Amino acid sequence: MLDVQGLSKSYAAPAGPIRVLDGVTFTLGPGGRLAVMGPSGSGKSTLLSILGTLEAPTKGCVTLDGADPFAASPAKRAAFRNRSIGFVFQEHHLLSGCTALDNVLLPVLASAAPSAAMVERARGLLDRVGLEKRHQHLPGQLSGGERQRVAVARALVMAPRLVLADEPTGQLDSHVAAAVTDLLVELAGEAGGMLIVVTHADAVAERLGTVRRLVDGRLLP
Amino acid sequence: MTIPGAGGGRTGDATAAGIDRGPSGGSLSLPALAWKLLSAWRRQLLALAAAAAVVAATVAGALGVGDSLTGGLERLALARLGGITAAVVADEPFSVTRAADVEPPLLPALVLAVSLESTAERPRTAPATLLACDDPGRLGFDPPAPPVPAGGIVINAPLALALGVAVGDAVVLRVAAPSDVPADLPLGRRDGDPVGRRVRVAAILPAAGIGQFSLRPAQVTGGLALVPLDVAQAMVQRDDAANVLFALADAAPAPRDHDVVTRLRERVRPTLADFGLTLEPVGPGRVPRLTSRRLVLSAEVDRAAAHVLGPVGGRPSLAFLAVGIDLPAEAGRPAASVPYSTVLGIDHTDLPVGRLVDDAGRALAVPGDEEIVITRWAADDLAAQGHPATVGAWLLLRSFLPETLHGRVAESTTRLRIAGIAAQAGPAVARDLVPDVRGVTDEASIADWDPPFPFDRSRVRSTPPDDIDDRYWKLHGAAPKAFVSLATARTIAGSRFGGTTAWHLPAAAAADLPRLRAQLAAAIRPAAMGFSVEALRADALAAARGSTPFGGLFIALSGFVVIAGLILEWLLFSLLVAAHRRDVGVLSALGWPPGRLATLVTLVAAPAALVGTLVGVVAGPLWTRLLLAWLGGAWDKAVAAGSSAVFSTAGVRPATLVTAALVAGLLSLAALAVAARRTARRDPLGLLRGTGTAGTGPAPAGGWLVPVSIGLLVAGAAVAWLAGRSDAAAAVGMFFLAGVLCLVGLLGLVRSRVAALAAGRLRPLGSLWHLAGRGVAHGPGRAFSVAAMVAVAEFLVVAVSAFRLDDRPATDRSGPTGGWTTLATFGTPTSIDPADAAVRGTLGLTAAEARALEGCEVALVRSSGGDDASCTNLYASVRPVVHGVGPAFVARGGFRFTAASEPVANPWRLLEADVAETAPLPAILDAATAQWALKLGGLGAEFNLPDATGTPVRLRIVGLLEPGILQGAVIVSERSFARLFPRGSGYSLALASAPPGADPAAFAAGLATAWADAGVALEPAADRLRRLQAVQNTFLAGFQALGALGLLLGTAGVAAVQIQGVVERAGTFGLLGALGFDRRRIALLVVLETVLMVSWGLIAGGLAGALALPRGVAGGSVHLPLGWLALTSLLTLAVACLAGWLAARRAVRVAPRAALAGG
Repeated sequence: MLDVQGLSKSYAAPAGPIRVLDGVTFTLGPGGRLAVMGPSGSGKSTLLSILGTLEAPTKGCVTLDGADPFAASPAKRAAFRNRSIGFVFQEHHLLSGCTALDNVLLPVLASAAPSAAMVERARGLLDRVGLEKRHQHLPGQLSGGERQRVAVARALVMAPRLVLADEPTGQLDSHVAAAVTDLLVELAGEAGGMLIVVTHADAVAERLGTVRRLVDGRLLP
Repeated sequence: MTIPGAGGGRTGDATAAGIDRGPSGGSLSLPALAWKLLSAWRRQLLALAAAAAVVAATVAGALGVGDSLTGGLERLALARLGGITAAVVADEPFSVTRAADVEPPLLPALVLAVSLESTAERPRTAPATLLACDDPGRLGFDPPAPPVPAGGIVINAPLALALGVAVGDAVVLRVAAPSDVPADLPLGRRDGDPVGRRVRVAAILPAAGIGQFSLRPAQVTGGLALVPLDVAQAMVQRDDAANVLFALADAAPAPRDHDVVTRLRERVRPTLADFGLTLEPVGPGRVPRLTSRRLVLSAEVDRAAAHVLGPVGGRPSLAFLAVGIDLPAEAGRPAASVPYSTVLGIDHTDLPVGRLVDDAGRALAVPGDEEIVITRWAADDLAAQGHPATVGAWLLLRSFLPETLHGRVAESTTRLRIAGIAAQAGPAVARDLVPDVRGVTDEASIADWDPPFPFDRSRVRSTPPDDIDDRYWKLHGAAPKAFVSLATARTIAGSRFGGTTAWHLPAAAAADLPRLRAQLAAAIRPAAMGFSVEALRADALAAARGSTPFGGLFIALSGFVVIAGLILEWLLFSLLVAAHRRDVGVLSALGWPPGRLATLVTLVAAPAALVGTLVGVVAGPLWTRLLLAWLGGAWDKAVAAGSSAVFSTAGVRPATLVTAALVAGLLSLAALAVAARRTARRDPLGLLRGTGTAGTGPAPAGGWLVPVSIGLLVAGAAVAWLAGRSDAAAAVGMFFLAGVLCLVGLLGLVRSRVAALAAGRLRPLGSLWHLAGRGVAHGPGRAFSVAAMVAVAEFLVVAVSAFRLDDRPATDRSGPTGGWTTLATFGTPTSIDPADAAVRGTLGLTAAEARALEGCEVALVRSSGGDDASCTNLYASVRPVVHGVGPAFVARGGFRFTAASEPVANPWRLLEADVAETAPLPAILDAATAQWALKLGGLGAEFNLPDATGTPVRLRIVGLLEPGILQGAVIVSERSFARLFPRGSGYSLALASAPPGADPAAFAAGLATAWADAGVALEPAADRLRRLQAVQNTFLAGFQALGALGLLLGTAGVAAVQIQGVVERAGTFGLLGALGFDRRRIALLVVLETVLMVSWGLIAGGLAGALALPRGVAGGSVHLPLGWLALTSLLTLAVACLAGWLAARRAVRVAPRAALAGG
């Protein structure tokens, strides 16, 4: 279960602190799905970064299955992020010199060389996202949609408890966007994981079921 | 749910669907991923490799200098010896038959210090070493010496150049006149003409092969002449003489040097004849007598004689000359005097020649300490002069001081009570009690005496009828006219050369003389008699290790280049990360722990560092060549002309290159590992978004930083002020402390300025400079690093520049020349003092020369002829030269002391302090010699020095001189010198000072004439000082150049910093382009940012250097070479502009639309 209580984030500025998130509070149960929508500058990406332990909140706390990642050391936090969180970035961020299979295996390599079972899992995920003929292709040889699908497979290879996606379909056409969204929902749910998607697209939000709006840093009910 | 176009199915069914999955099992491992990233990052990694190559080339090059120099010194030292491994060396000639005592036989030779004079219209004189042996081909030189025809001489090129002669020209070879009696004894010859021989130059040897022969390691090839052994033997008037026996490396297998030396010591046994001793029956009674060619028997011979001859009835005696046995005038009696008489010191009156008895036949006792027994003849002579001598009366014994001082014989007077009058029999008529003295005892008439001491012929009664002295002489010769105790005689006439002139044996011992001779020769320690076995090759190798660790020195000199190279690697690594920040960021975002991420990044960069290191190590010898070419040229020109052979480059050992590779590789890897660690800890979000740098949040502006920085500046200035009032040694350390304090303080102010810019508290944008400041503030940590690096480099360049030494006026008595204008070194020791008007009249000077010398000052200095331990000698000093200075030099004072053991007005006097027999001898050294060349430490340090026999003698440093012309020697009093080197006579060094207004050319010519027979080499004191200062200035110039190179290298890193900044601010430059900034203006902006950072560094470093420099630091005048500093700064700024331009090229290529879209 994901428990967010009073999450706030401010940045220092000469004219005074700029509050990006203001007391965000919500919980998400196992298998839960949430779409976060809001205008530009509302703090959606900041919320996702904090939930993904990429930056720390100014106030409030985040616990995942009772564990507070921000109370741990940076190394332990990285391990927590590696095991428990899958992140799909808006810009896929694939390593250009690595094949699709390699990119999927990157989270596994963070702790040890991938075992045969993990390699098979990575292959399976690539097949599941429709890239069964693209395992050895470099990102430069894939279309935008295909690259994003690789990013989805990468986010799921460690069977994380929480999957975060920041505008995963922002650069895809509607048809592919819908397919990628369904894939995210399906695969994340298979392992009982929670899914939070930041999106501008209503169609994507509808597929997740629960939609909350973030306006001026506050999460509306 | 499947993706359109996907194969469908669950995970793992791809094989069943016949889909090619590629290699099974997966191949992704940490090294495999690192390899993939390396391929993708290769462009930036190439630059990294180049930086690593610079580091490695610098380290390898610097270490290579040490190898090459050591190798060069070694090769040269061994080349000068050819096949010679060791030698038996004596300070006087001995019989060449000793050579056959050892298997394989040794090669005898005479090696003498000589002078040669050309016979041109304007003859030139030059000192040289004469090598006289019969078979020089056996010496193992390549090429060997050509044969020397009769009447010919072979000389080497340096000597030919000094004389201005060619093959076929005639030269005069001069050897010091043989003088058995030491010149420092009153009876020793001091004015003998050298033995000259006119010879023709048969060949001129190149300064290679045998042409560079030298027994001691020397960086400059001196003059060398070769003649057959018999020619030299004839000149020294000894038919079978040699003074060197060479052991050659022609045995197979070649023995170790240690074995050779041991064998020589065991097998070469000099005979009594080799020691200059004679044990023969003499006189009518054939009474065996032991005497020495040197007139006096040394303490070593006395010791051995007491041990061998004493048990068989041997009796020692000391004969000396009394100028007069005088009875002064007293009431009713005129003064009376017996002139020029022998007095004998004895410890028994029962001598082998008879018993000392009075007129009544009663045995006389040995006189007491203040007593004397005169002979009947002397008593009658005094009575005949109207002043009878009676037992109990006091007389005055006038004699010469036992040793001359600067060639001058002085008298002394001893008051003695007449204890008895000996009958004219037995010892009183035994002329054989007195050793033979050439020119005295071998003359038929006293009127024909040709003595070396002042001789007033008018006092000698040799003209009939008043010819009593001559009649005595013809009757009794040099038989003593008076007897004193041996102790009294030794007090009056004992010298450092000995206190005995003969041992007398009973006549019965004559039958046993062969055994006694052998026993006595075996009992005498050869080392104490001037014989030594020299491990020449081992000594040469030891000396070749050098007094200065050049490898380490050049590493230190190149230190900043190495540091700059490492910083450049760091900066290029940062650029690498900036260019691929998203790759690093995504791995961090995926949960890669910082440690593993750092390992991955290090694995990516390490191959570049290692490849660069290998390339650099291969290129290192090229850098060595450059360094050696520069050093050799500077050294040859300013320090020691003709020393370029030392600076050859064929000598870098593979082990050195391996060491350099390991050191440089480890340094580069360490720098990269640290940078990788920092990278791995960076904020992943910032990396992904391409914003900011790790830990570079703006520091608080103001706060504690500014007051602390100002405080450090004040402290630095205070230390600098104190340094100006300290001695030179402390001032150096205080200067650097002051500089560091000022530098840190100024850098603190720079940091504060950068932080203020970052905090945006300055006035609103008003110019492109303001905008440039904002750009610098984007990466305050990086900007400060660049400024700090430039500041440190500039500080070092300024600081080093200020230590260049300037010449001081040569007349400054308290300066490094001590007020002396000329140094003179002699090929053969001399006692001639041209400052003495009486001596000047005998030197054959021209009128101009005599005028120029009138009123001059000359200090004759004894010198041991050891190794020059000054900084001009690249060889380590195995046996440093010792100078013995006399009372006049001490009283004159001069030079400047950096420290003295007692607060006295003239620290030279500390040399003459009375010390107990077992206490260390006081010594004064140049501070640089004590600390760097001989590594003895500072004031009060005690050290051992081998005396003439090789026995270590303890000395203590009582004074340290500021670096000057006396650098390179251990300076003791003349009295201490006599203890260390008792056998030597004469002076090998002189300091001279021209009188005010004297014509310098005539003064120099006069000195050359005065000392021509001694084979003098004159050097202006200013030139000697310039050569010494040139060493320091040469290394400082190297440091400056290398520091400037490091500065430029560091500035090149600015390009990397700026490119990184442009990459990270792509959006900014895109925006500026969209707002209407043209390419030129954008480029100018980037250049201004660069100039800003570098200027801060130059100002901080330059100011820190200038603030910390007190006057008179380190014994040299301090001056800032503003021209050089301005040039360096301008060059640095120019390179900074170039670096900025390179970055600007990238900035102007940013497409505004793409940049603003976040691509």
